[in-house]
Amino acid sequence: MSLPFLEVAALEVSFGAGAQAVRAVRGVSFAVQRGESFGLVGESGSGKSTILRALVGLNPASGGSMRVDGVELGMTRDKALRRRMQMVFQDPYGSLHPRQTVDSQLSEALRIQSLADGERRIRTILDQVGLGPRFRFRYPHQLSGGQRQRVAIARALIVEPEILLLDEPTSALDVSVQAEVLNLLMALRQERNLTYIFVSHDLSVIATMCGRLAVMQSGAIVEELSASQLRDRHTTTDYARTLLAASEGYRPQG
Amino acid sequence: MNPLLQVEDLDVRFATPMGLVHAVRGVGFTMGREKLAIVGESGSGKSVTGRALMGLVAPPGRVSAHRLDFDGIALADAGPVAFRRLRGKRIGLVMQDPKFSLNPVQRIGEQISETLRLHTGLSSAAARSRSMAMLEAVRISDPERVYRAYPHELSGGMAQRAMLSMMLVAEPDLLIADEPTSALDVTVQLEILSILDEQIRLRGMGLIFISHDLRLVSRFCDRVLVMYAGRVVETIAAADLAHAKHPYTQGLYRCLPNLDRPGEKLPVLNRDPAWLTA
Amino acid sequence: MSDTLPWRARLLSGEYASRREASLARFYLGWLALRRSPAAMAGLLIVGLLILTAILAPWIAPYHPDVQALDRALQPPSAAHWFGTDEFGRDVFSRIVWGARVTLYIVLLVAALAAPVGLLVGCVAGYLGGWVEVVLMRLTDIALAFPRLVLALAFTAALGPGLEHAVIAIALTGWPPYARIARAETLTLRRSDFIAAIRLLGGSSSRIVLKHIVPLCLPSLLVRATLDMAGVILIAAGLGFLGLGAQPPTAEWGAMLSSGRDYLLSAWWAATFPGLAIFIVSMGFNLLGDGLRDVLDPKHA
Repeated sequence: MSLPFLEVAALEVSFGAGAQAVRAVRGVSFAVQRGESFGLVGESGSGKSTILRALVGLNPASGGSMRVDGVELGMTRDKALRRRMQMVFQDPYGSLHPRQTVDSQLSEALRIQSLADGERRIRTILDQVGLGPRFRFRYPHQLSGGQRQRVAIARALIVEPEILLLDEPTSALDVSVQAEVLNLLMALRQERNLTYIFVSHDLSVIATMCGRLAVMQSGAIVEELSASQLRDRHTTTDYARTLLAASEGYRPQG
Repeated sequence: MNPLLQVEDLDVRFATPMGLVHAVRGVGFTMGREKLAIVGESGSGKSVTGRALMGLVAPPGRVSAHRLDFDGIALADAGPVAFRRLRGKRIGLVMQDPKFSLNPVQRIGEQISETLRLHTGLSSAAARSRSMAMLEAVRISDPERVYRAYPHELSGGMAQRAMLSMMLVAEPDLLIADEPTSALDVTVQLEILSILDEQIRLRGMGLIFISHDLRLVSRFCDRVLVMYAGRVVETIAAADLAHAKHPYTQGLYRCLPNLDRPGEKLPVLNRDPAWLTA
Repeated sequence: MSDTLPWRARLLSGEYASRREASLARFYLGWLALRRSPAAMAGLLIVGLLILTAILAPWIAPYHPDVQALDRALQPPSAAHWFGTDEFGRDVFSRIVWGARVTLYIVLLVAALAAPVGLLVGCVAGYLGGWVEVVLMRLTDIALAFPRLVLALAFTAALGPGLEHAVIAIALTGWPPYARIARAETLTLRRSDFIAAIRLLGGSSSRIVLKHIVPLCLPSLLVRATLDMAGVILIAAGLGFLGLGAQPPTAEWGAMLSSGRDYLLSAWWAATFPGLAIFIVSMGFNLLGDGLRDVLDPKHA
């Protein structure tokens, strides 16, 4: 078996110091192969988003190691390393600069990464995320939540990363829009052979998007299982069973 | 016997700088002491409808209705005073985030007792024991502590239970719940829903449950109004949702991700302009 | 009218063909919003008139502002001298018109000196945090602790009276409020996802501050600066009144007010008209600033 593409080992993230320190992530380990889609599922405060933020260096890790393609991810990273891993955030209203057009946000990404041929790249990526040239010079306030999220995906993908981290990318969207964005993400992964780490509180979203997933509770992974195990309800821990039951919906008593 | 709520031709318009926004267009329904869901996507007018039923649409908005009868009381042309007399006492409202609807600088117990005394004129000792009983009824295991707590000392689920007890303590006939669980974690959601279900059944109240979650509503409610662009496009028994007739309802139901179909492309909703008028 | 419709319709439609058109549309929509407020339009009119008067002073003023004619001293307002004449027989109207230049000069210079310094200090402190923030904000507190007029007095006393010295003194005490506003805005922006997105694309701190944070702080700073201008005009007038600002015979409204004061009972016009000018212009800046706040600052809208 080949070396995993992305490897997280005994990751610890703490906030605060001394007696008040909160261990948000407690010794989390997982490995993801190239081209795989890996899900992290859990309730609020389970540490799933903190792992993503630690992976891209927005939160410092206080212990353990993170590797991409054998390269250790420290706190200082050069542009080439940063380019390999991009992220899409949960809130479509907070993830775009409110006073820049779609065009200037995309060209800014290209300028930072010194990528040539910007005109073509911008046009191509807008087509690929299903927006098209009509949206190029719009401001975020002229876009719906789903359209904003497509722009955020375009901004992440325009620098051609290998890994895309998705932090609840559809939980702020209407279900019909969620379906469109999830379909788009599925298609983009196939076209570009991307590796996804997909964080969600919704098991059915994770089941749709990921081949393998880890269930998290209070900062630790309690169970790892495949999508087919999930479909067959092959869970071994109580917590995963509770989560599964909850996602099946409300069952009236009596 | 009168139906609990009768609505005919409810309209809500907002005058904005960009022009008149017609948020609710000719909504009508009749409900008894049942669990009625209003579902729709953001901007469908479901929340505005709920607010209009309570007389809570703020000034740039204008509400008109051909008929708005609550338990035989005509509210269509009634002023704010008539609504104020009903609100809290006979119609309760639970909102999405208890953090914004509870007073942050007042203890939970005081807020519940105050509601009670305002509507019933009970003595403070009696109000206290009723409030305590109410907290127990929403399955709070240590009502003493919660009674003395400030909202920020409670978890989201606990705060929503407190909110629920505040709304139920005056024993209203109708409860309007606007996305009461969507700010909560899934496991907590189910607990709140089961409390809500139990209380509605015990008290024989009517419930209007406003939600975007069709799957939840299909199991929790008796009947569903589906709203699209300010109109009711379909009224259907919750049990029949899987076999809805309107393409919008069908689309909403099918586009939900499903545990049993991992990795499959999701059906998407193709909006037909005809839905706006049909 | 009909041939102007296509571009207006396009600007309002939200579908733009180029970067230029997109930014044009933003200004146009802002203008439309500003136009809805009568007070803001009144403020804009006053400030616009001040600017026009300053530019066109030589053509508007019927007399030379500094030429004395002692035989016509302290004449009441008449057809020949609309606002009367002062104790040296100079036409008060002409001096007020020329004084607009001095006022505008002070206002622009203070804004150009104080606002950018405050903006940069505040944004850098807010974004970087840590000891940089502590040092910069303590400096700001120190500068803020100086009483404005007293420092201006000391400054002009040390360097000698004069308009430039007055302006520098005002600017020196003027930047800390801007730094505070910019820092407060930056603190809310620092943790936002769109800034995180730039960081994980590899954008440097200076790039983030200059290209992404500063433009977002600009509107509230512009509002504050406009509101401040009224105060600046009053302080400059106060310094002129005390004889420490513009020096004779320069036509400056504060100095005019001061010298006219001696004749207030016998010749009310010599002090009243410069006073009115100060009052109207500072109110104009206040009204405009309030209007701009409604348009630019969504938190207050």
